[in-house]
Amino acid sequence: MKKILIILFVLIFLILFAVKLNKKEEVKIGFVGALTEKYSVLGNAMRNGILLAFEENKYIVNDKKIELLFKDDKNDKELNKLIINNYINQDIKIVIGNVTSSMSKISMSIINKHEDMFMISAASASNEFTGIDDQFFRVHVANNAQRFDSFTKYILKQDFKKVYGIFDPQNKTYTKDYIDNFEKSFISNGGGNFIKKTPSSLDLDSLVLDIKSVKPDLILFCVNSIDAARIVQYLRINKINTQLASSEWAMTNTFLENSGRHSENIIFNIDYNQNAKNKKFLDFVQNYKDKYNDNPSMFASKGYELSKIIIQLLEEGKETELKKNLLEKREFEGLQDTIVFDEYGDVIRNFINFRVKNGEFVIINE
Amino acid sequence: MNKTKSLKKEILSILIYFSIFISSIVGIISMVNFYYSKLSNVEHNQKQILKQVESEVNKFLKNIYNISDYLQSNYSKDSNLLRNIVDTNNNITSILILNKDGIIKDYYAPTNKNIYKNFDYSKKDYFKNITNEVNFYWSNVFLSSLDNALSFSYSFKANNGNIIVMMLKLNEISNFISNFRNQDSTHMIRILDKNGVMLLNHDKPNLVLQRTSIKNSDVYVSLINKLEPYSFTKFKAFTLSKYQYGTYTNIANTSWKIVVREHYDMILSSLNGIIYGTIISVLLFIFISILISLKISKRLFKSLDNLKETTGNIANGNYDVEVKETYYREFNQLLRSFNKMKIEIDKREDALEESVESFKSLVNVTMEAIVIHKDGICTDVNDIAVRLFAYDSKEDMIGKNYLDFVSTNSKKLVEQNLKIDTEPYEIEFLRKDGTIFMSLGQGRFIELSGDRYKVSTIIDITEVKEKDKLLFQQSKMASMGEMIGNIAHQWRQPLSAISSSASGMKLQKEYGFLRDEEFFDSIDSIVNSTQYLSKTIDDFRNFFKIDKEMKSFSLLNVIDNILSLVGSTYQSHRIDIIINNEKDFKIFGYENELIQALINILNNAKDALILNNSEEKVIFIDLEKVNNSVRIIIKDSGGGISEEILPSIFEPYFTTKYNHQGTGIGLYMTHQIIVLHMKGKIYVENVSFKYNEKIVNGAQFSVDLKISEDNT
Repeated sequence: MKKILIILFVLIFLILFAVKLNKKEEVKIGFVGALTEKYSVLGNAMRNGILLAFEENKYIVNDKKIELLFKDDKNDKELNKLIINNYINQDIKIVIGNVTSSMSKISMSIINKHEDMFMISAASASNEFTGIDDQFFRVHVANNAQRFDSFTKYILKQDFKKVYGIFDPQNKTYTKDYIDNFEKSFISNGGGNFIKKTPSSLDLDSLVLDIKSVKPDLILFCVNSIDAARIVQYLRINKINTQLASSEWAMTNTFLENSGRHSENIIFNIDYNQNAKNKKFLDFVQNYKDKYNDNPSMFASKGYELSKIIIQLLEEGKETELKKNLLEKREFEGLQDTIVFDEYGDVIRNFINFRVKNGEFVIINE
Repeated sequence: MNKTKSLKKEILSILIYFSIFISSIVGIISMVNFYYSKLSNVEHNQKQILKQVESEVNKFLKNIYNISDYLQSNYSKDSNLLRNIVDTNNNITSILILNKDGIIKDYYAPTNKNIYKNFDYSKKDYFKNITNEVNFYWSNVFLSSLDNALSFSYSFKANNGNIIVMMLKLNEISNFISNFRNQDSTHMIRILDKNGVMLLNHDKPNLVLQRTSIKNSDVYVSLINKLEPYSFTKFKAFTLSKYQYGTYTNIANTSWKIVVREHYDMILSSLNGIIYGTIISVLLFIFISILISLKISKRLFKSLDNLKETTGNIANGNYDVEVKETYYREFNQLLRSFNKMKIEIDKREDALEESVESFKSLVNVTMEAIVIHKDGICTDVNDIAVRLFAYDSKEDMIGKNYLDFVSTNSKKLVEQNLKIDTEPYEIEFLRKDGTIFMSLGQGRFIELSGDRYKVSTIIDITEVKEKDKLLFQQSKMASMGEMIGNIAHQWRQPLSAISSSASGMKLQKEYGFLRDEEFFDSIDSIVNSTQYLSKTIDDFRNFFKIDKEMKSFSLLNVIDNILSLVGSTYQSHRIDIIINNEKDFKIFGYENELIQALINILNNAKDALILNNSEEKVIFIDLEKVNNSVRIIIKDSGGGISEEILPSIFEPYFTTKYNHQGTGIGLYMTHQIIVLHMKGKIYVENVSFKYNEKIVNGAQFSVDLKISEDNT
């Protein structure tokens, strides 16, 4: 009897011990970004890339369980603050986001006060964040003048002198920065000042009239896919056949779908080649298609890349030491090339010019 | 050896385990029953709701098809048709008319932010998927460029080649399904498009807004991809790690999936009351069962204890303790039986004690020393043994090796005999003080309490041996007396010859007739006679020598010696000694002792022949080989021995002769020499045989002696 009771107690103890052993430590990673409405084109793509990356690791890194939290900032500053503070209250040390630089700026202002936190973005390209030793990192190249070199040189080579800029005032941190730095590069490569910089909020008829009045050689817009498609369609049906160029923000399938045949010949400059043939990228594309029944966009790819970087850093150290470990390592294998971080957490990548041909983004080999 | 168990523990364990087992089984079966009946209720409920929702969705689709037919037929006739349809139909948010190139030709949207006529929508899914073969298309969820909101569309080819696109929302179905809630207030229904993107999810509207595809989630893996519609299973929710329970159905036209679900925890929690109730009942039952078990066990154990005490008392020989009555009749009967047994045992033990005492007395009053030993180690001795071996007490002897009591001379023999049952044989034993005594011992194995013991009985024969020596001496003296007579007989003839020769020579000398020739003849005769006398003296001297060592010797030699010693006596009494066998045999032993023994037999025959004054006086000596022995048969015609005294003739001091003629030792000595010294056998019988054509009676002695190994 006594023996049986002892065996029973030992068994219960062993089971409890095994359960305790089996209970994995958990690392929470918070995503914040636009997941609904027109800014969600990027947000949803990033989320899909992030989910795919962690799913491949079965949500376990270094025997720690990964829990991903996705919060929609709706491109709303107050909501964004609330989400970030909520993440901090939950003791979350790793934040992925945001989709727009305007929102990233809000998030950074809070996260930078916490030295054990790590924030990384797949899209926030504002040059405002460049050269600062903070908690913010990104796999997307900042909008510095140098980044536009290949773009502006190509524009100039095509003999486009008069550039008309359109930017999204709701994401000014990125869009204005983009237009301004493009302009700087354009000037430094032999071009002149933009003939005009107009917010995309201007009604379309006024925009048409304005463009017709200044007769630019090139219209460069830095707006989201939906707005870009709307502007392109409206300009074309109003007989404005000026060459169009766009920031990478609109380089999405959504843009192609919504702009119809009017997207033909529009120029893009981007550090991503959706037609790349290297195995790693092709595997990613296939896995993405299998999971989502859709082609990945650049932002899905970058969401995937930044997730793999987080996974690699978590494999090497604590979740509170991601910044230190990233800056020690600096170089990471991306889907298409090596991602090299500078001491402030910005990346240097190669940019390629694209043109839409027959409804597809095609590399310009000129 | 099997490990013994406690009956009490066993009984108590069985009672308790049985109570727990039965109660647990009943409890588990009840809970499983409750669980499955609850699941059955849930399934029934969900199935009914799913059918209603499916019917509502089909109604919605049918309505859309009807509107599309109407639109196709009437669009050209009514310029306000698009507005009227959108305004009157809650599910249609806008309608686009695209020409065959995908250019917007007409549209109506109450909230238009982004589209204009002539916009090129040729890249839109709802346009691209209408082909020559496909006339209509249900899209997946997309972000509508009209109002930046989520939407899905039904597009179809009109008769004039235009593509009509209806932007739709599931407002009515959404309202309909919002009524179906689970116990925890979560909504029961989810609707997914063919890509697994949420169309309706009232609990997580964000998933709808974010166009989250759950195609890789457990909802698909465990339910939709695996099971037929209306099959129930447990699956993990997309956003939670918690389990859901439910089923789904497929809408054929749109490939939508309608999922009905409930938190699995809730199903379980609704069972909690019943389960807790069952568990408490089971625990209560177990508690009561254990109490009853303990009560029964206590009574049973008390009875067992009484029984144990009683039997323990009996076992310990304590018979005076009163037997206690117990709770159970059967135990009381058993106790009474034990009590009776106790009394009987008491009586028998007394008898046994008496018997043991008698036995002990018996053992101690025998003339034999008894030593009981096991594997050579002494375990018990009687008082005689203690005295015989001159030890202080039994305890001094117990534990000692049996061989420690044996002298060096006998050690080898005893060591061999220790392993077998033995007939009596002579052993030299050692006393505690180191003195040696001669004894006759025998050993027998007995079984005691399953062990094999050897009981050695020992008789001190020192005195007998002394007497034997004395008798032997007496016998020798008697023999010497007889021998002197024999010498006289032997010497008579040569002395007479010497005397005659000497007298003859003297007379012839006196008369001067003594010639040299006659002188030398007479001298030769005297010399021969003196040599004969000398030889006779040697023979007698040899006979009186004491044999110190056993040796191999010739049997015919022995007979020759006998005849040379006593032959003349027989001749003087006209007794014929006939030796029938001339074949010689070698014997190992004491030669002179054998001569003495055989002379004793011959003397006995001679005395009988003389006493009976038999007409035919004859003694036959035959030698026969019997197996490995030689049999010396000596028979006479002396009339035989009376049958009454026949068994006693080898006893000492037994004689039939007159006092002056016999000592009663001769045949006893013969027996001792043959049996003890020579390890042979001797027996006697009366026989009749034919001699000189007459039947004569006489005694026949047979002596069997082992032939020596070097016999040739």
